[in-house]
Amino acid sequence: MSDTAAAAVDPPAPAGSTARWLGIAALLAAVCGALTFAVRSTDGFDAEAELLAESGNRVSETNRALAAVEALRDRPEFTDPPDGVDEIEAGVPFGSGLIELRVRADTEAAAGAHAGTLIEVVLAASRDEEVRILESQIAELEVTLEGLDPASREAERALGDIEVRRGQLAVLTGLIQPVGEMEVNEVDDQPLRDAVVVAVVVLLGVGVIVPRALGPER
Amino acid sequence: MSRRLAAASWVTVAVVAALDGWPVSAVLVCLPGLVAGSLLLGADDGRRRIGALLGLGSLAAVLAVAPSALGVAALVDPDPGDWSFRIAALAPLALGALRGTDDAPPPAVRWLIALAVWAMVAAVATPLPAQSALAGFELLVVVVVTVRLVGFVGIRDAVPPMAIGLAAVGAAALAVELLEVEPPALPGFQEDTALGLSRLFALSTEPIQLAEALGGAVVLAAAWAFDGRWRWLALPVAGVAGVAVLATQSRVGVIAVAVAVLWIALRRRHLTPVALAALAAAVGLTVLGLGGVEIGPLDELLTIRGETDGADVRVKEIWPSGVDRFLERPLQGWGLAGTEEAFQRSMDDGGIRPLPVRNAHNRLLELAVATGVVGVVLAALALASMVSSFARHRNPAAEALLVYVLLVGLTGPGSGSLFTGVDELLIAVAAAATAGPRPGIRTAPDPTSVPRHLLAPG
Repeated sequence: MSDTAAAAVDPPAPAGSTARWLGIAALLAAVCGALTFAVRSTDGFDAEAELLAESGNRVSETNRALAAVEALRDRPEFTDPPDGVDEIEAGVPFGSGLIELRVRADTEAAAGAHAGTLIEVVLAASRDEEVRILESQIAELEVTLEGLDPASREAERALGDIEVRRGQLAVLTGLIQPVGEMEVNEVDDQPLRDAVVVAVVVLLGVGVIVPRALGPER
Repeated sequence: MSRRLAAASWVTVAVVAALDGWPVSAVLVCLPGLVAGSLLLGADDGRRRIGALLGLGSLAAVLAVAPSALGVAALVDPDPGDWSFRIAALAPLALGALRGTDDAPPPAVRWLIALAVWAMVAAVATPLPAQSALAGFELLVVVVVTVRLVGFVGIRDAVPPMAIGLAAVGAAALAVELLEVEPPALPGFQEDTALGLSRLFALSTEPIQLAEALGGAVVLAAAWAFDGRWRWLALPVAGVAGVAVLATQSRVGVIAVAVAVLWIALRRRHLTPVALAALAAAVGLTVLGLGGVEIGPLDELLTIRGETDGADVRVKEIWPSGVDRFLERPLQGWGLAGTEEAFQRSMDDGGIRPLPVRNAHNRLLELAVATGVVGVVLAALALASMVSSFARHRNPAAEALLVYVLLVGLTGPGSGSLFTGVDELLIAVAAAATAGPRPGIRTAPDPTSVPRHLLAPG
C-alpha cells in the first residue's frame, strides 16, 4: 500500500488538533465538577452516601404519602362528601412526603370541618399496615383552604376545628397556606455565571466540535 | 501526545474519584469509557476498533444509568443525583472519537447538529440558560461521538455492543432485585409503589427512564437478530432486557418492546422503509389524536396515575397545558433543561397546582416546549432526512430504529423530550445509519466486498 493510500485509510491526526483542546477542556471540566462535589461533601464517601440516602428516604416518604392518598380516595368521606362541600382534592407535592388536601365548600367553616374529617381518615390509614405512613409525615400534613384569610374569624374557627380533630398533632402554626403563596422551585438567578457558562459552551461546541464533526470542505 | 492524553485521563479520573469519594459502582461505570477512550487514542486500527465497540457499549450503559448524559450540569447545579463521574467516563471517549476526521456526516446528522447548536444558542433566552446550554452541549457531544464510533465499526457491528450495554444495566438491576442487595451508597434501587408492588430501579434511575433504555435494548436486539455476527446472542440479550422491562412496570418500555415485535412482524411482509415509517407515524399520530377520547381501557392507558401526587391526570388535560407552555415561548422554547420549570410555573398559576406533572407526557410536545418551533422544524428535517436515506440504504438496524424513533420517540408518552438519555443515542445511531456504505471509512468492513485474495489477477 502506497503512502498516499495509507494516508487515505488512516490519516494522522492533524498537528495541534483541536480535539486535544476539547479533551483537555473536558478533563478540566471533570476536575471542576468533582471539586464542586468535594466542596459540598468534604467527608467523601460517607457524605455522598448520606446525601443519596436522604434522596432514597424522600422517595419512600413520597410513596407512603401516595399510599395514604390512595386509601383516602377510596373512603366515602372523599367520594361522597356531605352537602355544602363542593370539591375535594388530595395529593402529594413534587418530591415531598407531604399530603396536601384541598376542600372547596359553600362556607369556609364547612370546608375546615370536612378537612378535619379527612385528616382523621388519613390518620386512621396511617395505622394500616399496608399504608405505613410515617409519623413525621402526619405532623407535616398540610391543609389548603381556597380563599381562606388566615386572619379572619372564619379561619380561626376552621383552624380550631382542625386542631381538635387532629388530636395528637401539636404543631399547627403555618399549616394553612393561603392561596397564592405556594412554594415554587427556585429559579436560577446568577446571570453572570449563566452568561459565562453559555458562552463557554457555545464557543466550545460551535468553535471546536461542530467544525470537526462536519469534516473537511468538499 | 496521545499516550500522554490517555495517561492524563486515567490520572484525572483517579484523582477526582479519590477527592470526591466516588462509590465503587461509579468507578466501575467509568472504567469502560476510560479503556475505550485510551484504545481509540492508539495508533493501531485493531485496537481502535475494539475501543469503538467498547465505547458504544459503555456509552449506552452510561446514558442508561445517567440519563442527563455527561453530567456537566453538575458544574452549575450540584445535586446529589448528578454524578461527576459521567463527565470523566465520557471525556476520554469523546477525545478518542474525535481524533482525526476524514468524512462528512450525512444530512440527518447535520440537522441534529443544527438542533443541538440551536438549543445551545437559544438557551440564552430561557429561564435556565446555563443548564439548557449544557444540555444542548451534551446532545451535540453524544451525537458527534456516536456517529463517529458507528463510522469506525459500521452500523452492522455497532448494534450488538449497544444492545449488550443497555441490557447489562437491566441485568444488574434485576440481580439487585433478586438478591435483595441494597448497596449502602445507592439506596432506592427498589421501592414499593402505592399498589404495594415493586418497581425496578437501577443506579438511582427512575423506572421510566430505565424502561426506555431497556426498550431500546430490545429494539436493537431485534435488529441484531436479523443481521449481525453472533446473532444467537441477541435472543438472551432481548430476553434479559424484556424481563427487566416488565419489572419496571412502565408503559413506555412495554410499548418499545411492542415496537420490536411489530417491526419483526412487518419485516417479514417485506414492507418498504417508507411504508414502515408511514405506518409508524400513522399509529403514533392516531394515539396522539385519541388523547381526548375516553374509551374504557384506552382512557385508562392515557391516564397518568400517581406520578407525582397520586391524582389521576388524563393526557387530554396534560397536552393542552403543554400547548399553553409552548405558546408562551413559541420561538426559542423553555430550553432543553427548562420544561420542568415551565410546568412548575404553570402549577403556580392561581396558587394551586392544576396539573401536577413534570413534563408534557408526549415527546413531540415536550420537544416543542423545550426548543420552540425552530427546534421542531430542525428535528422534522432530521427525521425526514432519515426516512429519505433509509429508502435508499435499507438495513435491519436502520429499519428498527426508524420505527422506534417515529413511534415511541416522537409520539410516545415518555418522561422527557425526544433528545434525552438513551433516545438521543438511538437517534444518533439511526442518523449515522442513514449514511449507507461510504467510501473512506477507515476500519468498517464492507460485507459486500470481495476479499482481495479471491480477486483474479489483472
